[in-house]
Amino acid sequence: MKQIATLLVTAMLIVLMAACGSDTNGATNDEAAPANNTETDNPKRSGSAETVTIRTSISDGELSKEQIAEFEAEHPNIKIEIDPVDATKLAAQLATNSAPDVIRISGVFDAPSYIIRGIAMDLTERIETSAMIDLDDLAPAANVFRFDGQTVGQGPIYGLPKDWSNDYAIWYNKRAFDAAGVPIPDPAVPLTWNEVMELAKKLTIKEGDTVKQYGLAATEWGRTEPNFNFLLQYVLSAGGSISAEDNGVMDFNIQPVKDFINMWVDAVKSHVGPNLLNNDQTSGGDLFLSDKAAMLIDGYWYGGVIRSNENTKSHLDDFGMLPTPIAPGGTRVAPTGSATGAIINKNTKHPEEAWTFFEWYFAGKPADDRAKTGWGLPAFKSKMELLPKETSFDQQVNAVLQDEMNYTQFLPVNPYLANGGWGIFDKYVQPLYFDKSSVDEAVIGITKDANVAVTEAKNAIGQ
Amino acid sequence: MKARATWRSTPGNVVIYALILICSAIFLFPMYLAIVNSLTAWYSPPTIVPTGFRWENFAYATTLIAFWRFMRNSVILCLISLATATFTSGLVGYAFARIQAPGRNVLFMIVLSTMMLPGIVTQIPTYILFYKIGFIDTYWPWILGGIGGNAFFIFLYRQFFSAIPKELEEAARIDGCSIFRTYWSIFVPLSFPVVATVAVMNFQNTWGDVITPFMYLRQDHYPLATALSMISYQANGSKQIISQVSIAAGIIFMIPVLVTFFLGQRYVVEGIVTTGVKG
Amino acid sequence: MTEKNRRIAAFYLMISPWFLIFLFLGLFPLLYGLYLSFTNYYGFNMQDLDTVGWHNYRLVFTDTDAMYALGRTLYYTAVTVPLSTAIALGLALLLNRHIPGGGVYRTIFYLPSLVPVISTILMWKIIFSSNGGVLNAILGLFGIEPINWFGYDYATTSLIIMSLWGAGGGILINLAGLKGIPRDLYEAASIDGAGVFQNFRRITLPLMTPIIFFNVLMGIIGSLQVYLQPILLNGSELLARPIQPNYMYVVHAFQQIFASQRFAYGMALLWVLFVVILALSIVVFITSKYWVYYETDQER
Repeated sequence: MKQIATLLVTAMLIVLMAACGSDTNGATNDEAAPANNTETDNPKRSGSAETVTIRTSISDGELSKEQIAEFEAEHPNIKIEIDPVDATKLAAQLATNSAPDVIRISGVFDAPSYIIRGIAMDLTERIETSAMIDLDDLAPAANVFRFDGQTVGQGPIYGLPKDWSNDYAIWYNKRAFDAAGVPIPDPAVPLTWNEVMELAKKLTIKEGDTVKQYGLAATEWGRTEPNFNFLLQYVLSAGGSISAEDNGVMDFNIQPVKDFINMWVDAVKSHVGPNLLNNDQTSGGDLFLSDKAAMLIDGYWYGGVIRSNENTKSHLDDFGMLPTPIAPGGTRVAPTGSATGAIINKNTKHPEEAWTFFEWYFAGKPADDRAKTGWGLPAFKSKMELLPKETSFDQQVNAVLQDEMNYTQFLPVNPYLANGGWGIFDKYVQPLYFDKSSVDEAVIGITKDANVAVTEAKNAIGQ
Repeated sequence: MKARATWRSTPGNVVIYALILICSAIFLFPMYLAIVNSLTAWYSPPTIVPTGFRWENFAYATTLIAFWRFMRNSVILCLISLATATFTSGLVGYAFARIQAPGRNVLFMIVLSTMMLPGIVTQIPTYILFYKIGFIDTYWPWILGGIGGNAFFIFLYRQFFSAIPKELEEAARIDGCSIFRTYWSIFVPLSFPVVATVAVMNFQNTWGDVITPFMYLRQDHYPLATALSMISYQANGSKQIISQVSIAAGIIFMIPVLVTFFLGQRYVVEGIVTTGVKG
Repeated sequence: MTEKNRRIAAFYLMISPWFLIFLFLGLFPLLYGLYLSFTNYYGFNMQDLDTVGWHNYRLVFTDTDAMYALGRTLYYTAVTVPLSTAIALGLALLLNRHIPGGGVYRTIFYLPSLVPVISTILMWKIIFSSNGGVLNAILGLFGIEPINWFGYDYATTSLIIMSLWGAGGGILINLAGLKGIPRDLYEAASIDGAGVFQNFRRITLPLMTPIIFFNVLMGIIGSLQVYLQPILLNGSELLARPIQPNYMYVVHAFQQIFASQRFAYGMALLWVLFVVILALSIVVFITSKYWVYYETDQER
C-alpha cells in the first residue's frame, strides 16, 4: 500500500513540477536545450528521398573510405555506412531487427548457424544470374556459405567469403632453424602433427633456465596451446567424425580426439612455445617475427604480415610456408578455418541495393584490390592471378599453395554448437597441463557439455 | 580559516613518509612498464628496461585511428553527464538523508538496488527500448541517464549529508528557512568536497565507460574509451595488434583524467568541510 | 499545508527526477529482462517467444559450471573486498596530513583506477609473466621459488592482486570522509592525552564507518560482477574462456549468452546473481545498525 501511495504522490508531483517552475525543473530544462542541439548535430544523414543507406558490419580496415567513395560515385542512390559490431551488439541488433543489411561473419563458424536461424537471405538466384559472378569460377572454399540444413557445402548459397586461407599451414623462420642447426623440412610433403611437435622440441633452445627461442608459435595472438579449431582439423585429417550425420549428437570420445589431446599436452609440457605452464606472456606473432619462434601455425594470409613487417620485410627469403600438417596416417587436408565474408540480412528493407553493394564488394574492384595485396586467397579462381608473385618468397609460398589448393576443405563445424566449442574445449583441456584431470575424463566432459549445448540450440529453434 | 598545519620531520612523520614512498613505488611500477613498453619498436616483445625511445608511437596512436574525433566525442558525453548527474544526484541524496517521508526507506533501498544490478541484465532489454523510441546513436541515453542521477552519487551525497550534525539544520529551521533554502544555503556550501568528488568521479566514469557507448552509439560517435577497446591498432593491413601504439594511446587517454583528478582532488582535500561544520 | 506535509512534498519533488528515470531506464528493462528469463529467447526469435516457466531457473541450480563459478566469485569477493577497503583507508590515513607533495601522492595512488582495463591487463601480464617477469625476480631476491602466476594454483591470487592495485580508487571518498571529521574532536582528545592509536580507534574509525560501509557495499557489488579482467587476463577476445579457477559467474553468463546464444538462460543466470547481490547487501545493511555511526540516527 505504501508503495502505491508513493507512486500516486509522485505522479501528482510531476504534474506540479510541470506547472510551477521549481529549482529542479528549471535546471533540467536548461540542460535539455543544448543537448537537443547536439542531438540534431548528430549526423544521421537522411539525405534525399531516393537515397538508400546500406549498413554493413564489414570493418573499415576491410572497406576503405576510398573504395566507398568510388562505389557511391558509381551508385549515387546508395550510401554505405560502416557499423562494425561484435557478437554482443549483433545479438542486440538482431533482437530488434536492426542488424546491418550486410552482416560480416565467419563462413566456417557462423554461416551454418546463421542460416539455420533464418537470418541469411538466399542468394542463389542472384549469384546465378549475376553478370559479375561466374558460379564455376568460385573457389571451393566459397562453398562454406552453402547449406542445405544438414551438410555444409551443399544447397542454396547464402553468402561469399571476402578471402580465405589454408589456416593450419606452417610458416618457418629460417634464422631460428639455423640457430638450432635444424634443416627446413621438405615443403613438398606435409609433416604429421606429431612430427611438427618433435621438430618443435628440437628447435627450442634453452640457456639455463631462460628460453632463447621456441620451436612453435601456435597462433599469432596467443599461446602455444591446442584449440578447438586445431582439433577439428586434426580429426578431419584422421578421418574421424565427432558430429552425427544430422549434427544432433556429438561424441568426442574417439581415438583421434584423444591422440590429439595427448600429443598437445605433451607439447605444452615440453614448452615448445609460450603457454600457461611456463607463463610466458609474449604472443606467438611477436616471437615469430623477432626470430624467437621457429614455426607458426597460420594460413596463406600470414605472408602479408611477413611482407609488411618492419623486422622481416628486409629478409623475406628467411621465411616460407610448409603444407598443412596431417594426423599420423591421416589423409591430406588443407582446410580453411575462417573464410570470413558476409551474408545479406534476410530482413533488410533494401534487398536490391544491399545486393548491389554485396556483388560489388565480393566480385568487383575491392575483390581485385584484396587479391593484389596477398592478405588471403580470393574467392574466385580467376583472381588467383593477382596474388603477389614477384619475390622469391612469393614464389616459394605460391608453389606450396598450388599443392595445398588440391586439398581445400572447410572445418566441419556443428551448426548447433558453432563457437561454443572453444570454451568447452578449454575448460576440459587446460586442467590436463596441470595434471588436474585425465584425457578420458576430458573427452567425456567435452562430449557432455557439447551435447547440452547442441540440445539447447535445437530446442531453441524448435527442432 | 585555520592556518595550515606544517610538516615537521618527527620520527613518526618520517616513517609515514617512507611508507608513502614505498607505496608510490609499488603503485607506479606498472605505469613505468607502460611507458617503457610504449616506446619500443613495433611488434617487439615486452621489456622491463627501456630498449628504445620511439616517441613516434605516440604520434601513430593519434593517426592510425580517428583519435581526435573519438576524443571530441568523449568530451561531449562528459559535459552532458557532468551538467546533469552531479546536480540531480545531490538533490536526491539530500532528500534521502535529511527529509522524513513515508516510503523513504523503501525508495532508498530501490536506489541502492539499482547499484547492485549487474549492468548486463538490463543491457539487451534497454537496447530494445532505446531502439523502439529512436534513441540509438543519439545522446539521449546520456541526457536522461544524467537527469536520473547516479545511484552511486546519490548514495555518496546521502552518506555525506547524513553525517552533518543536525544542529545545523535545526538552526536553519528556527530561522524559518524553507527546505530548499536550507539545502541551498546550508548544505550545498558545506558539500563542496563531495560535489568536487562526485564531479571528478563522474568525469572519470563517463570518460572511462566502454560498454554504454559501445551499445548505443555507432562507431563514428564512439568516445575514446570505447574506440580504444574496440578498434585495434593495426598497420599495413596486418591483423596483429601493435601493442606499443596501443599502450601509447592508453597513456594519452589517461592524461585528461589524470589532470582532472590532480586539479579536482585539491578542492576535495583543501576543502572547507572543517571550517564549515565548525561555523 | 502543515510543516510535515510540506517536507513530504519536498521530498518527493526532490527525488522525482531520479524516480521517473528509474522507472523508465531501470525498472522497465529489469522487468523485461525478468520476463525474458522465463522464455525460450535465444536472440533471434523476438517475434515469437514462448514462456517456459521456471525451466531456466531450474537449470541454473543444476548447472555445475554456474555453481562452481558462483563459488569462485564469492571467494574472490571475500578476499578482495576487505583488503581493498583496508588499503583504501590506510592510504587515505597516510595522506591525511599535510605532507609535502601530498597532491602528487594522492594522484599516484588513485592513478591505477583510471587506467583502462585493456592497458591494465597488458601491464600486469608483463609483471606476472614468468619469462622475464618482474614479480618472480623480486621474490627471487628473498629466495622464493618462481611462481606460475597464471597457472591453476595462483591464477585467482593474481586476479586479486591486480584488483587491489586499483584499490586506491577509494581514497577520494575516504579523504573526503576524513576531512569531514571535526578537528576539535582530536584537539579535545589530545588535551585528554590520547595517542595516535586511541584517536584512530575512538574518533577516526567510528566517524569513518559510513564511508567504510559504503566502500564495503560497493566492493561487494563490483566484485560479484567481475568478468572483464579474468577474460582478458587469459586471452584477447571477449569470448575467450579464463583458466578454470578464474571462471567467474558473469563470465559464465557471458559465455552462455554470446557464445551459445542461450539468452533466456543467461538472463536467468544474471537474475540469480542479482538476487545474491541483493541478499548480501541486505545482510550488510542489517548489520550496519550495529557498527555504522550516523548523526541522524539520534533522531529516532
